[in-house]
Amino acid sequence: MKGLLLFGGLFAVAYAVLIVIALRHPLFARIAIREATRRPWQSALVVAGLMIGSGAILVSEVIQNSADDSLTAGAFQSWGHVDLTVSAPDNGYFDPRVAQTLANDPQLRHSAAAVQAGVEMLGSVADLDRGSSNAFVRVIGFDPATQAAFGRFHQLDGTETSGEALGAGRVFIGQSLATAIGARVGDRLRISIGQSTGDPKSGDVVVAGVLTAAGPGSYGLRPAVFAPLQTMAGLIGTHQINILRIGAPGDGQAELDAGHRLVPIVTAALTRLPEASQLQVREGKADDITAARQQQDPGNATGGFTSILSLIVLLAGLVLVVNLMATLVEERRPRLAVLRALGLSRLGLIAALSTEGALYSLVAAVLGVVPGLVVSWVLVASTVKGTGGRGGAGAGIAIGRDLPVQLSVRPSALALAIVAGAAVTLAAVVLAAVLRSDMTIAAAIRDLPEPTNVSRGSLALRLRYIGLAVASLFALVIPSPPFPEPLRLVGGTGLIAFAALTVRGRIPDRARLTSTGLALAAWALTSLAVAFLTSTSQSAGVDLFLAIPVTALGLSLAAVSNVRVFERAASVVGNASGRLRATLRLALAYLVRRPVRASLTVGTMAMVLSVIVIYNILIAEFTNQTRQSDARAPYDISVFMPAQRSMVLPATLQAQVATSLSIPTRSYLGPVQVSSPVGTPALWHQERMSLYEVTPALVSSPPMGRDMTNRVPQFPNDAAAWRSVQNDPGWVFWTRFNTDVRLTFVGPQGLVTRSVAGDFGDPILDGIVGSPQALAPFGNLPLGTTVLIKAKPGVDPHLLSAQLRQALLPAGAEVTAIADLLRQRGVAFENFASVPILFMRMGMVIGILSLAILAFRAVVQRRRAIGVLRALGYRRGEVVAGIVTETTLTTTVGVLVGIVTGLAAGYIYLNGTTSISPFGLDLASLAGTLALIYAAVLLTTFGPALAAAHIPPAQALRLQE
Amino acid sequence: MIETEEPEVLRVEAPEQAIVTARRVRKVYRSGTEVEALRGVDFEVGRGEMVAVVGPSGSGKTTLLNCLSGLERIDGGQILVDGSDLEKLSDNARTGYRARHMGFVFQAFNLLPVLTAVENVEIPLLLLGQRPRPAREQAMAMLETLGLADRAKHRPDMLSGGEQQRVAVARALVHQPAIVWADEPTGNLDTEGTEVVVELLVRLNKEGQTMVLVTHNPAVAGRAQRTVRMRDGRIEAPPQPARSAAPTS
Repeated sequence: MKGLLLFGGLFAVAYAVLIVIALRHPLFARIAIREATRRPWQSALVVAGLMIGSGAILVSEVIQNSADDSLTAGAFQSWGHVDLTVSAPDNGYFDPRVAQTLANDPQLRHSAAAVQAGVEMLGSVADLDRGSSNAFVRVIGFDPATQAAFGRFHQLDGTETSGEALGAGRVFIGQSLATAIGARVGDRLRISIGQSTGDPKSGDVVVAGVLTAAGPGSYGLRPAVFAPLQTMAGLIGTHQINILRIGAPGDGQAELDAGHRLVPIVTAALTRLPEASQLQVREGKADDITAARQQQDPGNATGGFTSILSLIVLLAGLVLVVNLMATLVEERRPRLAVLRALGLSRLGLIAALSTEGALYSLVAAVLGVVPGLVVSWVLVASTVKGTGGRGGAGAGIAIGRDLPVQLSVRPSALALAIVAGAAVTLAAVVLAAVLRSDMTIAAAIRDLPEPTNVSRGSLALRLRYIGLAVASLFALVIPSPPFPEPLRLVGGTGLIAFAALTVRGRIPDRARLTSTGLALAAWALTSLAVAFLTSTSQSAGVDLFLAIPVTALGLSLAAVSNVRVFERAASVVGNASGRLRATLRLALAYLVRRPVRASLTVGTMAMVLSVIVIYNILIAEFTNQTRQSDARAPYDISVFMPAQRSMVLPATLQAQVATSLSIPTRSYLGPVQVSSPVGTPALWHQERMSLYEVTPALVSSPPMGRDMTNRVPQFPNDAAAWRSVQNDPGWVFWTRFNTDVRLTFVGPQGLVTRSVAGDFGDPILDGIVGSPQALAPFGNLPLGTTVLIKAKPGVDPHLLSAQLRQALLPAGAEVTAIADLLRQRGVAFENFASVPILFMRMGMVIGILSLAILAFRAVVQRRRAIGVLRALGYRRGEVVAGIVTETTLTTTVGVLVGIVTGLAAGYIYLNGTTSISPFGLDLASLAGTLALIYAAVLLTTFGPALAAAHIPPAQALRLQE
Repeated sequence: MIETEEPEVLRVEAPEQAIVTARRVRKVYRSGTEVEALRGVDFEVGRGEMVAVVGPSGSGKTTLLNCLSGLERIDGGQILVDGSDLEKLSDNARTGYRARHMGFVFQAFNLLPVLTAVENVEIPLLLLGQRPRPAREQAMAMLETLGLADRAKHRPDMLSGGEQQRVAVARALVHQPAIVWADEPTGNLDTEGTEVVVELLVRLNKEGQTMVLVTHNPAVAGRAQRTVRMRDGRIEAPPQPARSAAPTS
């Protein structure tokens, strides 16, 4: 909303000013409208290019909003009409009469919509009829008498019920559990509920109905069993309860607000009950919704990184807009110079040009939302498959839940895209106009290059240079928090630019631009390396956002200034190279004529490609890790029994086992706070975690080998990290490791905070690994066990898994072949990668569009020059070859610069964040991407080139403005 | 967009009757190598005079005209136009001065292709802040004077070369400037077109309009009251004293 206000304000002010100018100087408006309508196709092309601005902004907004809205909707859905919960800190039992007492409290009766006694446990479920099981199930006890106030259950057969008719031993199950274990109505289920002692309480029930994920049936959005309290008592062996559910009146936000107002009333009511003095009130629903609304994405290890890379793609789009507008201004230069000669001031020229640009900007911004919506739809549709899986792509809030992502196009997003797109494009126009308005009129009238004057410019120009130098020096030398490294990067970049401007005219341009470009790239990469070594990840992220464009543009400048080496390369072809050289020379001449502009085009492509390369490195790194994991995994099968502290195997199966490792495992489902980087304020949200206890056997033989995948840089080696986790209760390992993470849980004695030391790329132990001391505060949680098994040589792990599953079914054990777990991890990663990859594809479209549009405009603008060439003896084929060569060269330089930038930034990123990750490149995927880029560029350039070559020379020569 | 107030300018005593005075003007272009386009040129233009600047290509004719008119800055010397030192003016002040006191005719006509003939002619008036209606009337009157009234609504691509240049002359004169600069005004015209435009310029000069024109064409130069020959950035013949060229008719 702030963005909308900001850009809306800028838009309104800018267009109001332009309207006033147009009214006061109708000449400007007249020229603008005539220019825009004189060559409709050319104008359409400009508008098409500028549409990138609003389109890219809309895509970015819609994806963000879709994720936000889906998470928020999911949070609302998962809590239904339960706004507050009351439970003991250790999740212990208490008297169900507390519910009745609260319900009868005069104040509460007046303010609350409903109060329900309940039970919530974690357990495993085995379908005895299907031979299937699920080890992580929410077992929810509800009171049918009070259920109606919270809503009626929706069954798959279309009926609705509050559960009053459920007989003893009959339960509902959620649709996701039914799908997971293939359960149907009438199936017998064995439910094992974990206890802190590790001795489970079990019981058999019958499925009376399958609930859809709507109304109270969506409670938790996780696999669940819904049992009336009577049946629940049979399962847990007591009529006591461990939770009170309280609903506030109203719906949606009003309900949420009413729930918040209920908190002091409930707290006060509880203090009046001696038996309830230990009970605590929690606003779980509000916490989840707040976390979702603020897009807290703690579980997504690379979420911030993806955002940064996406921003770079957006930046590439903006560079395209600037480039396009610079071309437009360049085309208008002779006409504008005439107006300057006739007495138009510089300010007037800027106003005149901005008036025309404002027309294009507005039309492009409005039309740009159409492709923006299409791309958003494609991206969001691809994202749907990425959520809900184990360790999948969804945010931490979404993991393990059935939470689809739905397209959300808010009117505010459309408005923002239009006003921000128009404002940004207009800013590009004004910038281009300001830069080009400082023209030598005599040269510009005849469309000659700007002459270099001996005088070093006006006092104002010198003051601007000095201002740039002073500001840059300030940023470089006196950095201030919070982002000292990015400030240094900007400061150094400014000083290099200052030096380049100062020596203009004193040394040859080629040397000047080459050294400037190389200096920019070297400075950006050095700053990035220093940032990753010394700063917080947030600061390093900002540095990454700045370093990639600076490096790409710097290298592009250096490369474009030296592109004539291609011509020399052509000369070695020998006698046959005469015509080739002539063709190449022309293409190169156009490329190097305006190196700064050409490097913007090349830089756009390079920026996008560097981001693609970085993702390629990440994918290659993951593939590499997976391969290594597969090779080094010392176990074949994982057995998770959430409610039993030990596993007993029949002798026949025991005979097939070579070795096994038991890891005590507790299951946590509750509020979690993930602070990343450490110290960053984080919101609470509900999350599921397995807590694995480090044992001497686990230390000596970790599931995935001793080598770690990621490690906090403060540990010099893996052994140091292991030592800390073993001996210091403050440190743990976490599978979903990100750099610089601190986790906070709610334990029976209060908050429990643990720092993450690293992870070892382990999809087998999916959760927290800590010493007994580190996990001691969670002693109240159900104790289970995870058993890792190595099959004897010659035993098929999949066959053994099936036999184990059958044997351990009554205990609700989840038996998985480790090869399958690794494969699942690969699928989850592919799902995760699909979103950024689609973003990259959007970036590719931007890059290709930028080249295609500029190629097309070049052809249109050079028709007269093409006529001259044809008159001089150039064949049609050579004209086509020249234009295609120019674009291909631009692409090639962009590709080379992009690859170098991506490799350098990717290497620094991986080294800075993980210290130990192997470095590689998925060459096949990269080659495919490059082939696609070249094919698209050639396709989009060939048509215009062919059309230009077919213009009769005489006609082309007659062409004049 | 135009400075409406008379800018504060440095007034230097100029020779009597001289509207343009140039002293030791130097202009250097630097693009890899240094090229001295004007090497200490002294030059004067009398009020109401028509001066032709001739010389071979690259001799500095156009550069001199651009420097005298303030389109380009100089690297040394002094240029006074009607007593005002252009080099001392800011860009905005110089632009305003140009708008009020100068008119331009270019070799390539340089009419704005998106505007009609009359719209092109009224540009200087609009830039000076004149209201649209009187500006249009004045532009039409100027076109009528030049015999182009029936072509007023045509865009440049619908006019012949000669007509385009006459429109350009109309644009240069419509705001009654003190001096008109013409750079190869007949360079893109055929014989007939050249004759028409030259006759027009001579007629306007006889009516009192000061003009400086750069030309390769000896016939055109021959119609001027005075001819200045340039070579290698210098004026070959010593500058003749400025003389009054008041209208003879």
